[in-house]
Amino acid sequence: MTTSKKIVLLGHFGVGKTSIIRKFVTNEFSTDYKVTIGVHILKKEIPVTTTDNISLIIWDLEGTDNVDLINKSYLLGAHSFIYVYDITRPVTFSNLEENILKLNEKFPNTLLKTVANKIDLVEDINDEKYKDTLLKTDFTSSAKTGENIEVLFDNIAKELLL
Amino acid sequence: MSLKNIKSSHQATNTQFVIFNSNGVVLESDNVLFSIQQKSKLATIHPFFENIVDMVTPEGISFSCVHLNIAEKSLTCDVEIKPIENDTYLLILIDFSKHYESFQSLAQSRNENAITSEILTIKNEVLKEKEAFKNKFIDNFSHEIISPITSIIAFTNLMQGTKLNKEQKEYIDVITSSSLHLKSMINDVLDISKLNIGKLEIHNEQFNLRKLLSQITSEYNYKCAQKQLDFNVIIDDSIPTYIESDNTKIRQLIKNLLDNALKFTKTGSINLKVEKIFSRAQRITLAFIIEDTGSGIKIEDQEAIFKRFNRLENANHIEGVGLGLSIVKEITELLGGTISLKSEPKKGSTFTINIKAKCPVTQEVKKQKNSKKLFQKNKQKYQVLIVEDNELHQLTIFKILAKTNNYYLDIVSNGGEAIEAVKKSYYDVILMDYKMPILNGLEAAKAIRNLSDNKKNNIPIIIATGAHICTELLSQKGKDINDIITKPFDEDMFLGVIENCLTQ
Repeated sequence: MTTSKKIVLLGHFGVGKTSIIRKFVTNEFSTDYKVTIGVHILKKEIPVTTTDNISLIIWDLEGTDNVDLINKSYLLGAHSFIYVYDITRPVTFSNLEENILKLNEKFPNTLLKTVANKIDLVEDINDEKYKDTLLKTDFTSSAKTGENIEVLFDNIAKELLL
Repeated sequence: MSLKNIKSSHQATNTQFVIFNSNGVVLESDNVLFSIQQKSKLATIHPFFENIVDMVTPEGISFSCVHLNIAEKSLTCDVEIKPIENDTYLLILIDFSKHYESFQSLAQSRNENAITSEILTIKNEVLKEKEAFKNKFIDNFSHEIISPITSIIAFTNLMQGTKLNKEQKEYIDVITSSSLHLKSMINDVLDISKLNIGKLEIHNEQFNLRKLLSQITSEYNYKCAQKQLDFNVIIDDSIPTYIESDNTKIRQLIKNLLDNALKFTKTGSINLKVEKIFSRAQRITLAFIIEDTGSGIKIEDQEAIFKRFNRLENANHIEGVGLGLSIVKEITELLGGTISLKSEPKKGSTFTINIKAKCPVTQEVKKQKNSKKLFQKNKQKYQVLIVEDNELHQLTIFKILAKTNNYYLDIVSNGGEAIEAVKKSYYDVILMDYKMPILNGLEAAKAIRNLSDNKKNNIPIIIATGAHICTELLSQKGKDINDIITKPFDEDMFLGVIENCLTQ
């Protein structure tokens, strides 16, 4: 049986949302940055159990630092949000907590995962300067190396089918 | 053509209407933009339409800027879905691809600029952190080196006063010369470190400029004579005796330039000229001119010599780290002055520093009593408390003071012990190190000032510190502390400060 679930990626611009989706859906990565405007929607079906598949409808939204500014219709019917930030750019996680709070208030039943992307650019992840932010983060990832990309979506898929 | 016709003709090219049922099955499509087959399921056409029916409210729903790729055709559309009659829905796709393309290029350049600027800021912060760490390290390291050098210089001075044979005297001269050179280099590095972190501050005071020039003249008469160079000092008669500026820094500027001239002059002469450039309403501009008949500097190198760690090719045989002239330039600018250079290879160089200073109306300041007379007259010994945690420094100070035969000494090793000692005994002067365990020099001085015994809470206190005098310490000069003495100190300066405190 195949179930379809809408997953929406949000976060500041340039954090690698499109790259994460591209890596997951087509296993491709490019260092060229192309701004996303509006929304791109892609789909990938993955097995969750031996008998069940899940069809992930992934909405790649235009980057913004304030979730209040997102076109509300984009978020309607979402089963899960993935809030992505760039671990190398503090401005992309300076208001992480505030945005998470807003999403939880407006969509209390929607699964939410936070992702620190571009982990491949960090020399020492145990550096004290990352400690506080990483405590509020569910996954570290690298769209470039593929680190934790499959794990992230597998994890969400399994939680959605629980 | 009517407006209605124009409108429908325009919409006919960029708007597609599709009717579908609650199962997402297409009932009808005008296929203006995309070719959508009747009876096909919308969800199979593009994932955007998956579960779309569940999202539609009675008022309808709209999405802007949706990137759709249907039947190998890519368009960026605004999408509207409205419920119509009998469980059917109207899907309206409006093609705004051209509009969004131009918006995309604007957003691209805006975001790229923002990211570049963020990354530059981050890199700049990292560099600043590294620079601060380096400066802190240099500062600490240099201070650590200053301590043993202080002892070396002090003990060699003491040894010079003992009975030595000719060979021993020569060895001592070498140790003295090397340690003075080392001290000068460390002071340069410390100055640079202080300039980097903005800790090098200006301390203006009224001082006797002619006396300063006379001291410098004696020192360089000797140094030039050793190299068989003529040293000429020409001081404009119109320059005032007293000016208000930073005495230490002006001394440092003149000495650095004279040292530089000494390094590069093998034969001939070195001249120091002091001229009045401008004077009006207690303001004066002075020119300190240092001329030499040394190797000179090529015109193309003249700018580079003021840069840090810069050493010209012909200077490789000269000792030093290439900081002297950069420090001169930076300190001159810190004093609000300017420096210029005229030079010709093989003929020599002329450095001119112009400094603005205040010129007091009354050319008199408190004259210090002659300390030698003080001791001759009183024939009394003074009670000195030395507060110093470093045993080597304790010994150095002890030796210097004991040699004069003018002092009784008590030595303790921290601020706490100093307070206890003052409570038990009376002292004429307290010499206290700044950095000490338990209580630092300033904290101990404050505690002594707070003692109830008026005789004890007024004892002159001198603080000895490393090369860096912090603002906190300076702000207390004349209040909780009477004077500050910097390490490494030479014997005469050290005794002078103590005697000066005793005569106040």
